Amino acid sequence: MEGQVLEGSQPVDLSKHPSGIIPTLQNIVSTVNLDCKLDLKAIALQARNAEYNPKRFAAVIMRIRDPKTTALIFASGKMVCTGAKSEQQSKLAARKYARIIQKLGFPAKFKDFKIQNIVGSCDVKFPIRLEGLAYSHGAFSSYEPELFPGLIYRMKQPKIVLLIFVSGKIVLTGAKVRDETYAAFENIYPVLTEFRKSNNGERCT
Amino acid sequence: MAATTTTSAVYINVIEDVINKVREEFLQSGVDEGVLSQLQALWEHKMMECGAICGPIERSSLPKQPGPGGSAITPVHDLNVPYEGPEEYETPTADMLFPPTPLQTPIQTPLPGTSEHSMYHLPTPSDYPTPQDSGGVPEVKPGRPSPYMQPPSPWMNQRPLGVDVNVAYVEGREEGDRGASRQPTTQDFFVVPSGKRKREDLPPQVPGSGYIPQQDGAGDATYDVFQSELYPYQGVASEDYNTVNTPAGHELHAGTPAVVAPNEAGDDDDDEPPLNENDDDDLDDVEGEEPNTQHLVLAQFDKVTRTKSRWKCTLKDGIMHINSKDILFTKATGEFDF
Amino acid sequence: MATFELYRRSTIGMCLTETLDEMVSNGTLSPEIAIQVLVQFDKSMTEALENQVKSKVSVKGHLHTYRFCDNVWTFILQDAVFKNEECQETVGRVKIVACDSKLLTQ
Repeated sequence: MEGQVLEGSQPVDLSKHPSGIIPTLQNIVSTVNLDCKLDLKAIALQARNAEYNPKRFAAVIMRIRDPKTTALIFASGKMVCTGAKSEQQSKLAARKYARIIQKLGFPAKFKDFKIQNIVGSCDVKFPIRLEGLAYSHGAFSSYEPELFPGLIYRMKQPKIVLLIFVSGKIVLTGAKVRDETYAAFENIYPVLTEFRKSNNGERCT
Repeated sequence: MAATTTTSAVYINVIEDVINKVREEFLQSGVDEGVLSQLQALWEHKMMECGAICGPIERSSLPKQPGPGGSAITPVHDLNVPYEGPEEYETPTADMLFPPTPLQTPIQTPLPGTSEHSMYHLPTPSDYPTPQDSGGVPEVKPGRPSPYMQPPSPWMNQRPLGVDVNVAYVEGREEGDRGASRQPTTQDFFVVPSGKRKREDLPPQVPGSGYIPQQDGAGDATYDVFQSELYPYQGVASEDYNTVNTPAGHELHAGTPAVVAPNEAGDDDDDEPPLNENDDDDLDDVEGEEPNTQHLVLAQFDKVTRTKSRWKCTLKDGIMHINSKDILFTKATGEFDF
Repeated sequence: MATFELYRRSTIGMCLTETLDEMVSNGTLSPEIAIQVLVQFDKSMTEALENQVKSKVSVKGHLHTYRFCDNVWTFILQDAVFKNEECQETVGRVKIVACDSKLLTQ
């Protein structure tokens, strides 16, 4: 996993990341209003790398390579951009899509851009006793290994959903700003260490 | 070239099949059987010229070859008079089947003769401009795909709704001319009086809807309309998409603010610069013409899937024109990296 | 029988179209009957590909551009390699146009 103790060659700011681990942002979902009605078929026929299958989904799906993202473009002018690895990249990508639409002849604007979700992940690099964690944090936890191998932890403050896996891999989703992701991880990290599987003697989960 | 031999054999079979199956209609329409033979001979001749079939073709009875005098055969119909064809013979246009509205029509089944190519008809300039005009309009060529099926002939255009086949026609010509060059010396039997016609040579009386497609590039009215829609206020130096709040203002600010330097646009509360050329995508933009290629695969797809940047597809019943060779396939698998 | 006009863009289709074009323009054929011939070609070509062709091909390459609209996939590949039982061909750029096979069998 990336985002570990060293971010590149930069040492981790331990005042902000006491765990020494910085979750890596994996996916940013943003929305923007192009503020004009769009002819999706015309877009699909003119823009590159577009898919439009109105029988299955009422949006044009378009991709660009840099930043590597996917956009869902709706006839209303609303657009969703997914796949970027940072807020800035998400915005840059959204602007590129908007510009593509504009150059196809639509009076596209760029209104109300908003980061809707940030997905981060990291690896604490030790195994975790999920049943124990689920039991002691029952109010926040949902762990049904027969349905899904991860523990779903619904943190209240910040309001972040964490997927915690036996392996020590963690996924954090629901943030509007990355500091929520970071805060959620720092909140959970001591809990994870508490339910760390010891090297020997622990039964496997 | 074993594949080519196979291809040649299939092509010969197709020609025979078509000729045999339209014979009835020719006779019913009062067309002399000699015309059918002429059609077959011309078709086969062209196929041999470009090397798509290997002669000689063994056939029990060689077709009569009317030669240049073919046109002396009394035409069933005077083409100078607009032809009122029976309605059921009209090829439905995509405009009829797929009205260009935001409403998504569920009609997807291709009908016999449905001109799917024209679903790609949009009031935009050609992205396959002829080389001489490509320099003039570099900015506004949308990267729309080529229409993938084109009727290169004006008579196919005689439809209630005009379909702009110009784009298709240009590319079609290029692709039609691919492969071996025409050998004038072998055309003795077949030259039609006017020689190899160009579209411009068509008499204006060609039956049709009155819309005579132009082949002279990406100009013409549709282009002008498009350009004026795209750049209606190109001279305005300070457009801002984010501060205008009146509907009228929105209407007026339809152009691209490409003339605005990004740092001049920060006069709004939102500190969001208008979209500008700095937002252009170098790799994936609509700008620039769709790369034209003489290598072409025409097929049907069974399945197309994508995982991350890895695309896989299964195709069937394809005709490939690759490196001047025609290769047919019954199945094909594709693996592409995006 | 439903057919695609797709194959008209092939060599054989273009040769037929040019032939019909000439015969229509010199008055030998009416446009209507010429269209009939093309429709028959659509059918005959489709049947021939289904019944007379056995070759299987694999294609690999960089996907430069794709599009899906109106049930048609268009791929533009760069540096594509085509292989079948007998030969291998490499092209710098190739366009693949594919209609939905399900539309013919529905």
